[in-house]
Amino acid sequence: MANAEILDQSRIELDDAPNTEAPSSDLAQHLTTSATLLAAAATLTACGGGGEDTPAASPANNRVQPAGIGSYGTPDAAGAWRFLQQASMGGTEADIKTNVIAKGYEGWLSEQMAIPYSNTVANKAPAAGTYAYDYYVARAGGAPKQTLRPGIPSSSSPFGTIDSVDDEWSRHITAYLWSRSVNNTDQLRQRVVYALSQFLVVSLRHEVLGFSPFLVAGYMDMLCANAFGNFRTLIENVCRSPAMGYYLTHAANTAPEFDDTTTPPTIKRIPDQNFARELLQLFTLGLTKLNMDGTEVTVGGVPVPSLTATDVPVLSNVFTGWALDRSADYAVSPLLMYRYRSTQTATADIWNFQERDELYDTSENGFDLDKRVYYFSSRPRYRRSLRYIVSMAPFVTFTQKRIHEINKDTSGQFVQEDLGTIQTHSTQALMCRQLGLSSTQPVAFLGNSAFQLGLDPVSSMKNALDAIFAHQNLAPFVAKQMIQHLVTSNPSTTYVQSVATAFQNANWDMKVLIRAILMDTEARLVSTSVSYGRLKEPYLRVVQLMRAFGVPGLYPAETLTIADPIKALNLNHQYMWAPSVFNDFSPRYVYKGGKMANSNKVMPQMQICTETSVVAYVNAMHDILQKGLGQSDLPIDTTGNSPGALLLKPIVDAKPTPAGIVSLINLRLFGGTMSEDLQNMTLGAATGTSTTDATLLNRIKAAIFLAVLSTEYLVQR
Amino acid sequence: MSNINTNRRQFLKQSGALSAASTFGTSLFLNLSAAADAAAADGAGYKALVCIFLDGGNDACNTILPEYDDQESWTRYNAVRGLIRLDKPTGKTSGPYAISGAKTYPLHPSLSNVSAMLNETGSKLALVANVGNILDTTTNAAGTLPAQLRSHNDQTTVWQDGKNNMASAGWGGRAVELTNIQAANTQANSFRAVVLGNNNVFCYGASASANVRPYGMVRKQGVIPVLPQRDAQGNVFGSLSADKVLQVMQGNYTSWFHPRTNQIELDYVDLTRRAQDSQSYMADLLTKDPTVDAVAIPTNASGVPYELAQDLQIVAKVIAGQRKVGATGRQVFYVSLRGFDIHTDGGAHAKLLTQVDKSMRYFRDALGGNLNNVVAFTASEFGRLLHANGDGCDHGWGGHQIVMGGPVKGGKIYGTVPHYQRNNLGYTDAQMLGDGALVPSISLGSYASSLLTWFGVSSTEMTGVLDAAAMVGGSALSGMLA
Repeated sequence: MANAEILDQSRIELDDAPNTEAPSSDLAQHLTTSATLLAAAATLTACGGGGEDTPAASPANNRVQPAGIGSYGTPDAAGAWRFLQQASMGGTEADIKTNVIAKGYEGWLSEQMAIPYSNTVANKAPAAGTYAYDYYVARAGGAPKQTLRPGIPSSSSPFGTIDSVDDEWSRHITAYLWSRSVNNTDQLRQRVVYALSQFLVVSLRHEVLGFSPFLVAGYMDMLCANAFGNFRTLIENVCRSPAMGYYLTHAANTAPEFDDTTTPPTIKRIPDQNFARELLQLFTLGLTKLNMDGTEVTVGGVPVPSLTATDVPVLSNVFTGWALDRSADYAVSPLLMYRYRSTQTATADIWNFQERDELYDTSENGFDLDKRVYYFSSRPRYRRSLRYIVSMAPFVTFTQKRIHEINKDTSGQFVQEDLGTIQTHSTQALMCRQLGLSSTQPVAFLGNSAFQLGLDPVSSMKNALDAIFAHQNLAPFVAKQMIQHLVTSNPSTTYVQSVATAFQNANWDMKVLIRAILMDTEARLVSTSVSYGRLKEPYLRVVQLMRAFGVPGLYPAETLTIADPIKALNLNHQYMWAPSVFNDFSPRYVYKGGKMANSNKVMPQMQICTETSVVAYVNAMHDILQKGLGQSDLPIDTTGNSPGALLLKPIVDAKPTPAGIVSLINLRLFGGTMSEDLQNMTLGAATGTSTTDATLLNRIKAAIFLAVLSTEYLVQR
Repeated sequence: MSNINTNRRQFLKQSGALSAASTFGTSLFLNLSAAADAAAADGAGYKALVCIFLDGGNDACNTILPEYDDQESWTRYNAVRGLIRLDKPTGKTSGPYAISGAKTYPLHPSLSNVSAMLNETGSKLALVANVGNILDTTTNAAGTLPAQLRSHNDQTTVWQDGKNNMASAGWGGRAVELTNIQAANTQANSFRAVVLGNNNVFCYGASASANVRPYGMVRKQGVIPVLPQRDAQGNVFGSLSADKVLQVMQGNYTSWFHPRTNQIELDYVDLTRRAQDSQSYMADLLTKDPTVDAVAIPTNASGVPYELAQDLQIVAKVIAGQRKVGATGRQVFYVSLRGFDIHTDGGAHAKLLTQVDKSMRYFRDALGGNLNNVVAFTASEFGRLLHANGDGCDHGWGGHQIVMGGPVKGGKIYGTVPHYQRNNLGYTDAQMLGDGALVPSISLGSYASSLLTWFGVSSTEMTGVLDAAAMVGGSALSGMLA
């Protein structure tokens, strides 16, 4: 594919400044400090190292503190590191020392929650460097923050023509997601959004989103903006998200239609049920009725379904009439991609111009006038309209128009033809008719025995969300999934109940949810339960490694290489690349035949582990350490590193002893909790006779390599 | 310690190899198992069952179209299929078609190879109409419906589990763990069930002692070697020996008085050990029969090879390898093709069916004479509603499937394609639910049972593999498999 060639050369440093580690001159001091911190962590090392499954000592079974939020005093290094494993994309030394230890758990949480994510999308005046979509602005040629990779002269910019920018598609957002995970300071938000994105799923592995990653950029902005807000608002934004509209196909969903010419009359078309179903089954309630502690409600041993047969058809009528916002405000995009598409210069006539572009859109893709409403444009020709990142707009009715182009080769004039008005939003009468009811009969939806559609999509959605948020499942369903993503795959019922109750009582305040999860005794106290914790996803394993050592720069082509599902050196996992709305793995997945399964425990991330993927991880980590994320032999840049590689030069310059190398790895990757056996293994790899920088670098890499292959590293406990 | 690990340890102990660290690239354990294979017969008794899962719910109503002369069904079809409506062909056999008795059913225009294989003399390809998840004989439009009938996850589990209890074991895994069905490699349990892609239910066995777990393989390569980057001395990063890497990967770095105890860690280590144990054996098996490579993998219009065909190539290679080494047991395989959850079409269904069509033809060609020992069948969690939602359609119930293999008596549709004419808006027609979901006439249990009977599962054993209560409409399948 031609794109691959273009993009393999496209190495432009990302917007965010790399989170570089201490300069080499300080490293000797740095290593000494590490040793001190390790000594302080020693007491917890013993706890974390193992031991039998002693129920009395397990917080899951016998809480040291009463259920709920405890007070834990000043964290030590191990405690701070462990906290950051749950609350961030991975702790750096700076996070451990100057942030969590100095400020305390609560202080750090408060500080993180106060970091703003102001939404300038609404103001249509994006400030540089803040937003996911801004990355695309930067790519649009001569952009304000475009900086080339160190060592590459600007004259060889791969972005010589705007067309190549337009064709970069998904790899830039992929690189941007990596960059944010690795470098951003709003780490709590990044981790919470990472968790949310795994059950409120949209994916770049999709025929529309993959080619219009701007949609995904807008979705990520939306999740970020709502991560510390209110869950009801968040879900409402998910419902109105154009990315979700394309992904679960409720964009341009319209009211049912009937054929009255037949005897008896027949249903001609029913609304799309895709989003309605997953909103209930995956995003908010799940399939079976839940108790507040997350266990299933059963009758005679059989789980009770949370939904009835008509809930989804009713909700599919609710989500009719939503489509991309065509208001002129959003048509006048600051990105102005049209400029590059035509010789037409005037922006005064931008509306017509856009129509023209859409006309191309429809004709190129063989849409005809029967095709729903053609200008909802399900195959966007240009990929960066603001309409892809602002909420979808409600349409009660819609007047279809067709634009004819006259004298296309010469004058390029257009005439508009009115094709009549259709009912886009369903009505109570139409919904009843679809369900085989008379229009005066009550319609049941969840707990509401007389559900009413509103007169427009907004009021209908409000009525539906009222019913969803009144359902007993919402609090335990969301609480348990968030605990699984942040802390442990098998939380105790006490833990789930405590978090769910706090969340519900706070009227769905995300801050309360996050605090309740992270400050619970089951999260904060080291557990000796043999089933405690979670297997880290491959993405998190690599990001944590990169945060621990720092990377001088991340480049688009490299991160996408890692995502390639076919390559032998892939991680079988990538941010925002789920194979379907069910994410890469199910929260209910049981690894059959394993020890966890025999203890009746789920092991979600094991679903993406196979005989081949566990080996691929080893090979991929080797190459990430050897060559950087790019996994290709690229020129060494001015920092002395390969692109996307760990910043190891300062460590080499400090000439650490083998024990110093192990101690540094122990602090940065394990918070001082590395087992004695693994310390011995890595010490062996770090020891050698030659004293050249090259061999020292190799020994450092070898020691890190062994460390990240160990299950001590792979399992977050 | 889980069973598979126990087995492995016991085996190594018996062969005197427990104290010897596993060396790189060769495993004594697997060399022995290969030797056992070589000593066996010519593989005449070998049978492979290949599940091709169409993920997302294949639109059955556009896979087999209404009977050519059934004007009422066509009228209904044309009225409700919206933008995904397919044109009635100009003649009964002018496009892909299937014959069932005196009736002719046009097929989706993308299914030209399926049609050719279906209608040739001595056909070894059959269609099965309207198969679905039926709880028992009382399940129908008016009776009790199965739970979570429209949920992808749940119905995928039901289809693969075959017992309607949302279990984590599947009918493929349960079948190969039966004592009378000898494993393809008696020592290497790993290879009884092979899956391309991520873990699923179908390939897991139910018995803890037999311990059938899917062996995961990867498209194109089949297996991935550990650290191909190592140098001639077997080192990485200059002086780190690959044996040290294996030691850490396999959790063998811990001293006996400091064992790791976390079960998540132990399960992961188990999988890693298993991967390493089987890797060289499987890599060797894949090269046993080079004739598979001689058959070209079909590509799409842009020249990109079809993923399903690439997966089936690995399956064909494993089968060919087993036959070469004279394996006599049974194997199940699972491959899948994603993307059938088409709520808005845009040509997606045609592309997917083209891929299925060409990949199945490819698989037949790649298998060559080994086809006689193989039955491949499609499965999908549900069909889709007859009613379009505009340019797509939503989750339904019954669906149509394809069965291909040497023992298949092909050339026809088994079962009955539903008639779409309906009485009124309230849908009293027993063949459809109110929203246009096909009510299955053959249960998933009967469909699976017909395949497993050929595979060697006896009628008394069948109740342990499948749900006995859910055998409906099986007589329609009689004679399909010799």
